Amino acid sequence: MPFTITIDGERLSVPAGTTILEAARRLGRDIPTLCHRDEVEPVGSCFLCVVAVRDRPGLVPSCVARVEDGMEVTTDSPEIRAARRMALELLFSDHPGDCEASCTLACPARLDIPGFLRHVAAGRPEAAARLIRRRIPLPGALGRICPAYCERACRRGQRDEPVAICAMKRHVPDREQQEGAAWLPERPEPTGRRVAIVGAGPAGLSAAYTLLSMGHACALYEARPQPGGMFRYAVPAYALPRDALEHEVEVIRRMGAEFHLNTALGREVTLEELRARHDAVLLATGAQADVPPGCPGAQAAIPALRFLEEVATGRRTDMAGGAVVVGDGQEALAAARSAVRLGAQPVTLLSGLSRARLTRQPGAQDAAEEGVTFETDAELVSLRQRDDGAVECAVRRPGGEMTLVGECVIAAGSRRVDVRGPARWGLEVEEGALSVDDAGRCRGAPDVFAAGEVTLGATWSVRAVAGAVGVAASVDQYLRGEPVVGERHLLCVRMGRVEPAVLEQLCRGYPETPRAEPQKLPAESRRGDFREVRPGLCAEAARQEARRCLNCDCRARDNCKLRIYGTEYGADLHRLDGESRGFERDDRHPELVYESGKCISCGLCVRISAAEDEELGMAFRNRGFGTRVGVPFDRPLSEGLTRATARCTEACPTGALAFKPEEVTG
Amino acid sequence: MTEVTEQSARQTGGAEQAVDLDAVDQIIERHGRHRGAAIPILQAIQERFRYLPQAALERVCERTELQPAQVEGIATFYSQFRRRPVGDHIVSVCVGTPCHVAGADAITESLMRHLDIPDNRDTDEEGRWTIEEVPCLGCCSLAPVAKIGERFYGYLTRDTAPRMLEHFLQTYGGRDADEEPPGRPGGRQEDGELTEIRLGLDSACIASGSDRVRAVLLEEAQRLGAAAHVRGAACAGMYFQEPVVEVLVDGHSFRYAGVTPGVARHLARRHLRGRGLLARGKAALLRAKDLLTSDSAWTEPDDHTLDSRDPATNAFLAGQKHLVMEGAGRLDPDSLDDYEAWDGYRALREVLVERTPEEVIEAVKKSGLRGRGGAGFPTGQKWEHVRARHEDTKYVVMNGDEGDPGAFMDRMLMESYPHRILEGLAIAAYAIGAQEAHLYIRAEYPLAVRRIRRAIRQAEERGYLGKNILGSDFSLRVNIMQGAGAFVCGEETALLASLEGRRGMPHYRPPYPAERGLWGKPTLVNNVETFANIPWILRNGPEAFAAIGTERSKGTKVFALVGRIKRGGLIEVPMGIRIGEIVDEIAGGMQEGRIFKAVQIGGPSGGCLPASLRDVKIDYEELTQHGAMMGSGGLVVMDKDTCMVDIARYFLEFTQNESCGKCTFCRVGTRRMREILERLCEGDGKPEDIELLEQLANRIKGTTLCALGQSAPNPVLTTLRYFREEFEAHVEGRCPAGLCLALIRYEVTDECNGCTVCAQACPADVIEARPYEKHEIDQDTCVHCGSCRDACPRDAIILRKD
Repeated sequence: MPFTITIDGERLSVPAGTTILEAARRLGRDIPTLCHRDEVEPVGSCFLCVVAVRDRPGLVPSCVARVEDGMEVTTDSPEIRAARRMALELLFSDHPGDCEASCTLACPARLDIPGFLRHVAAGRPEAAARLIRRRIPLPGALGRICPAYCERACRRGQRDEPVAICAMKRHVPDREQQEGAAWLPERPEPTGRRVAIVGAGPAGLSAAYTLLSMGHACALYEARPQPGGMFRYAVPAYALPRDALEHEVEVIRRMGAEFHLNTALGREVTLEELRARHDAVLLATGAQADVPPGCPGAQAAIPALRFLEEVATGRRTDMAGGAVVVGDGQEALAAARSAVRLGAQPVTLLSGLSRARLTRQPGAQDAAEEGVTFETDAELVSLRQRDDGAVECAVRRPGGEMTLVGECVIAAGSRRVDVRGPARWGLEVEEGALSVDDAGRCRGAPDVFAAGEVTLGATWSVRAVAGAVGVAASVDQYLRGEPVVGERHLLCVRMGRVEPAVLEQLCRGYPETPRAEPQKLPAESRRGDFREVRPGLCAEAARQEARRCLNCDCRARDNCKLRIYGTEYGADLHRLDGESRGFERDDRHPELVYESGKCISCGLCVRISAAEDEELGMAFRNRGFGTRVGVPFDRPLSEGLTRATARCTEACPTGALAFKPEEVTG
Repeated sequence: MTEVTEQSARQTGGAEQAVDLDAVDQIIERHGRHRGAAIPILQAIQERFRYLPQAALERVCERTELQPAQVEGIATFYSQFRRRPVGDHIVSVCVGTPCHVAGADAITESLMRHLDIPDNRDTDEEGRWTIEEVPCLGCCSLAPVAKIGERFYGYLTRDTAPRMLEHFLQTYGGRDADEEPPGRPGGRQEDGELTEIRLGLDSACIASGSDRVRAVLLEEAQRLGAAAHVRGAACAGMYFQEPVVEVLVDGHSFRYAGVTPGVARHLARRHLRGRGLLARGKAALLRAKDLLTSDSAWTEPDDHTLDSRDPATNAFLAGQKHLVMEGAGRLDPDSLDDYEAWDGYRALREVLVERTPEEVIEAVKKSGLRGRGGAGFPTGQKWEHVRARHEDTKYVVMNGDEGDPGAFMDRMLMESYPHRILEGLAIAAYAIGAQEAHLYIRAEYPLAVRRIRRAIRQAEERGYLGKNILGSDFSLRVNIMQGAGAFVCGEETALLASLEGRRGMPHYRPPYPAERGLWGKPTLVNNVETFANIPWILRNGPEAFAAIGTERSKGTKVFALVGRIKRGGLIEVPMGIRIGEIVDEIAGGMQEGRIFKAVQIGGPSGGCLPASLRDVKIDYEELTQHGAMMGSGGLVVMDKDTCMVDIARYFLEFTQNESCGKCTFCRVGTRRMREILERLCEGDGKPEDIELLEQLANRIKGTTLCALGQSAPNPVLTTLRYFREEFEAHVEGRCPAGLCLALIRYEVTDECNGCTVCAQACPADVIEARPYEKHEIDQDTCVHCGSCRDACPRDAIILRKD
C-alpha cells in the first residue's frame, strides 16, 4: 500500500519504507548530504539532510526517516538553512587541513601552483602551460619579475628552502618558446560575441587570453606602436627579454586576438564607437602618469617612465657622464640599472628610505652589484640646471647637506592613473582611479568594464593580471546574459603557518634537497649589455625542483562536498572554533592518501569495507568527540584497504580519503 | 601452555606481558563464537588479564566470527575496556553530581599528587595504583566517595584521601573484595528462641559500613553461642542514618540507626541470648564486664535507638508510598521464601492461570503506568505494540543501565527486590509473547548482578522461570548481560546494539524496537522500575494504581534524594507531590547554615528548577513545561554555595564525555557548548558567549539522533532561564556562589596575628610563614583549595567573590 505524502506543497505517492530523502529525489529536490551514499545503508550522521516534518518537533534527518502516510515535509526554510549551516560550521571547526595550498592563497591570481608543478614533475609542460594560463596568462613575464608572494608562503620554506615557484613558472613558456610551440587550450564553439579591449598591456593581454579561451572574439586597441604596455616600455630587457615578451604576445595572437596598434581612445577612436561596434568594452589603460618631484627646478629632471620608454624604443642608446636617479621604487631601480648599462658613470640612486629598507627592495641587491651607489635617508631639496648642461641636486640628509651632480637626473615619482581620460570618457573616478563595482563593471555603463592598474592604481603587475582575469569572468557572464557577479571561489579551510609536528607529516617522503638556483650573470658582464641577468632552469633541473613541492593542497579540492556545501550555505569557518583534532597525513598506501584530520566520522568507509569483506578494513575507534577512523590494531592502511580501496575513496565526502595524484610517487 | 610475549605499543608503562592464549581459548569456548558474544568475551579477557592484550584480541578474531573492525570498535568504545595494563589496585573516585558538589575534584587531585602521577597518565610509576574517575558509585549521602575494588570510602577530604590507600592495604590486606558471604550461621533453633537481626546490605549500605556491622554481629553471636539469624533486608532508603539495624526478639522490634561496629558489639550483647546455661552465664559476665569498664557502653546503643515515634524517620517516611519498595527494611533480598511471604509471584500465578495476554495489557494500560526510565511513554501501549507484531521470536529487555550520575534507584531495586523485578519481567514476557529475556545491567553494579543471578536460580528452581512456568505453556529464559561502561547504552537502540556485540550507537527511530529490535525481532525494552511496578498493579488492580498520582502521571516514582539536605536517601513518593514537600518535609530542609537554591531533577537530561518553584508537582508534563524532566529519578538539592554555571558545565561535561559520536550536533555541538562553559568558569568568558551558548543549545535540542543529544542542552537551558544573572556575572569575572576557582580569591584580613598555621596548612607552599607578621597569599600560585581558611584559628582568612 503506497503512502501519499506532501513535500514542499507537492503531493506524491511512494511505497512504504521509502525515506524522505528518496521521496524528495523523485520530485527532483536534491537535499544535500554528506554521509549518504546510495549503495550503503543510511545512518544519519552528518545531519546536513535535515528537513521539517509537520507535528514532529525539531528537524528530521531525511536520509533515515521513513515516510508515513499523510506526512507533510518542508525541505527548505530559513530555519533549515540555518541548521545546515551550523552543521557545516561544526564540521569545519574540527577539520584541520588546507583546501588550497598556502602558496595558491598567497598568490593574488590564485594560481594552482601544486597543480602545475605536478605536471612539470611528470614531464608534461603543455598541460602545465594550460593550467598556468588559466590564472596567469603571461607566465613568461611574471615568472621573471613577480615578487613571489607564493614563495614566502611556501611550506617547504618552513623546512629548508621554498620551491622556486617563479622560476618554474617561466620555465614552462621558455620551453614552449624553445620548441616554437604554442600550447593553446581547448576552446569552446565561438560565441559570436566581440569584446573591445582598450590597452594591450599586462591587464589587456591577460583579459584577451581569458575571453578568447571562453570562445569570445577580442580586439585590442593599443595607443603605442607595440603591445606589452609596462612590460615593454618600463621593464628593461635585462629583466624581461624582448623575445620572451614577443612569445607571450604571439600566443595570444594565435588565440585569435586582433591588434589595432597606434590607436588611442579619445584620439583615433571614441568610447561610443567601441561600444557600438562591440558587445562589451574592457578598459585596461593602466597607470602611466608620472608624478614629478614637488621641489623647485623639477623640470630639469627627466620622468623615469619617459626615460625607460626611450631606452626600450632605442631612442636613447648611450649616456655620458653621471646619472642621478631620484626615487626608490621599481622604476627608479630600472632607470638606474639601465643607465649603468648605457654607460653612465657614476650612477647614484637618491632615496628617502633607510639603507636597510632600500636594500630589501627586489632588484636593489643586483643594482648595487652593478655599481649603483645608494644615497639613503636623503631628501631632494631642489634642482638646478647648470650652464654646461649638467644638473645640480641639492640634497638634505641627517648628517647635513650635499650636492649631487649628474649629466642626467631621472625622477621616479609614484605612478598614477591619468584620470583625465576617464573623465573625458564620461566615467566615474574614485580615489585617483577608475571606479568600478565589485565585479569590475563601470558604474552607469553596463557594457563597459575595467581592469588592471586603471582601477587599482599603480601596483605589482601580478595584481593587474589577476584582476583582469577576474573581470574577464564578469564580462563573460554579461555576454551570456547571466548575473554579473564576477569570479566566485569556493571557501578555503587553511592551517596557516604550521607546527613542527604537522610539518613533519607534510614532509614525510620528501628528501631534503636544495633549491635550484640558476646562476646569475656575473656583475661585471652585466654593466655592458641588456642580456637577461637571471637565466631559466633546464628541463631536468625543473623536473627536480618541481618534485620538491610538498603538495599541500587537498586532493579532493575540487570535489569535496563539505567545501561545496559550505560555500553554498555561507558557512563562517571560524564562528564555532574550538579544540580540534590534529592534522595527519598517511600516504603509505600505494593508491591513496588518508588525512584523518578531514574525516567527518560518517562511517562510509567503515561500512563499505565491511560489505566488501575486507579482512581488516576501516574501523571506528573511541567515542564521542574523540572518535577516529583507522585500520584496526594499528595496522598500515595498505593492509586495511585492498579490494575496497576505490569504493571507499570515491565515497569519502571530504578529502580524508583521496586518490594520490599519479605524479606523486611513494 | 601457549604463550605469546607481548609488548603493546600503546603502553606507557612499557611492561612486557606474557599472554596465555589457552586461557583465551577457554573463554571463547565458554561464551561462544557468534558476534553477539563479543562484549562478554572481552569482559572475560579483561577480568583474566586486567586489560585487553593485543595478542588476546587477535586470537579472538582468529577463532571466532568476530572481525577485527568490530573488536577494535567495541574495545575502544566502552569505558570499561583498557588497552594498557592497570596498577595492582584501581581507585575509583566518584564524580557523580553530589560528589562533584561536595568537592570530588580535590580528591582526585590530591591522590594524583600524593602518588606523583603526571597529568597525562593514570597509573603510578611502580604500577601499584591506578586512579580513575567514575560517573557514579551511588553512595551519594557519603559524598565525596571513592572505592578500591569493592571497598568504599566516604566523606573523603583532600587530606584523608591519601590515607585511604594505606588503610586499604592494612585493613583488607590489599584484597579488593571478600568472598561471597557465608551461609547463615546459627540456623533455626527448634526451641524457638531465635533472635532475628536485619540490616540493609545493599551497595550503599555496605558503603556505610553495614558489612562490617554484620561481621561483628555474626562474630558476637558465635562468641555468645546465641541462636541468631543475621540477614539482609531490602533497602529502606534511609541513607542519612545507615546502617540501620533491626532486632526482632520475642515478638518485639528494636531499631538502631547509624550503627558502627562498636555499637553493633554492644547491641549484640544486649539482645542475644546464648544457648544453654554456660553460654548464658558467659554472656552475663561479659555484660557485667562492659558495665564496669565503661559508662558509655550502655548509652551508646540507646543513642542510636530508632523509636517508632522518631520524628526524623517518620518525617522521612510519612510522605512516601511504597509500591515497588514494598517490604522495605523487612524483605530479605536473598530469600525467595520472604518474597513469597510478601505475596511474591502471586500476580504471575494469577496471570498465567486466569488472564490472557490481552487482558494483562489492558490492565497495564488502565493503570496509566508510564516508563520510569525517563521518557514516560505509556507502558501498556508499548506492550500492545510489541504484542501486535506477528513474529514467533520476540524479546524482552530490561534496561538496567542506570547511568545518571547521582542516581541509584535501579541499583537499589535490583539489589533489594530482585524477585519483584523478575516477576514483572515474566508477566511482561507473557503479555507480549516473548520466550527470552535479557537483563542489561550496568558494569558498575556487581552486587546487583550477583543478587539477580541468584534470584534467577532460585526462581527457576521453584518453577517461576524457565520451561513451562508453573505448569503452563509459557516458558522464559533469562540472560544477564553486563554493560561495559557507556551511558549512551541507556538509550534503547544503543542498548540493543550493545547486546548484539556492536558499538553502542543509537539509530534513528522509527523503526522502534517494538517493530524491529534485538536481532531484528520485535523487542520490549522497559526500565527496571517499570517492571517492578507490574506485580503490585496486577495484585491490587489498575484502578488502585491509577488512584495514586495526578491525571496524567499515575502511581509512584523512586527518587534518589541527595544534596546538602538533612535527610537524604532513596524515596518512593506518589506522583503529584510538590517539590517543596520533598525538600522541606521528607528531606527535612537544608543542612545547618545552608540555604535552598535549586533542585536538579532528571540528571544530565533534566533541568534545574529554582527554589521559587517549590510548588511545582512531580508530574511528567508539569516538569517538562518548566524546562526540567522526570528523568530516571535523580533529585539533587542545591544550596547557595552551588554555582549554577558550574553545574551546567558539569552536566555538559558528563554528557559530552558520553556522546557516542555519531551525529554532528551532539558530537561537536555539545563539545563547543562545554568549551564555552569552561571558559565562563575560568573567567575567560566573552559577552557573545551567552548568546552563542543559547544558539547552540536550542539548535542541538531539535537536531540530534537520540535522546542523549536532544536532552544534553537541558541543564544549560534551564540554568539560563532561571539563573541568567549568574552567567552574566561570570562574563564579568565574578562567581556569585564563590565556587569557580578562577574567579575567587582567598585573602588574609587584619585579624591575622602571624601564627603561621595557614602557611603550614597550605599544600602548595603559597603562603610564606612570617611569625608575628600579617601573612599574605600569593594569588599567582594559589590553587584555591581553601585549606588555609579551614585551618586559620582566628577566621582571619576570607573568601572573596569579586
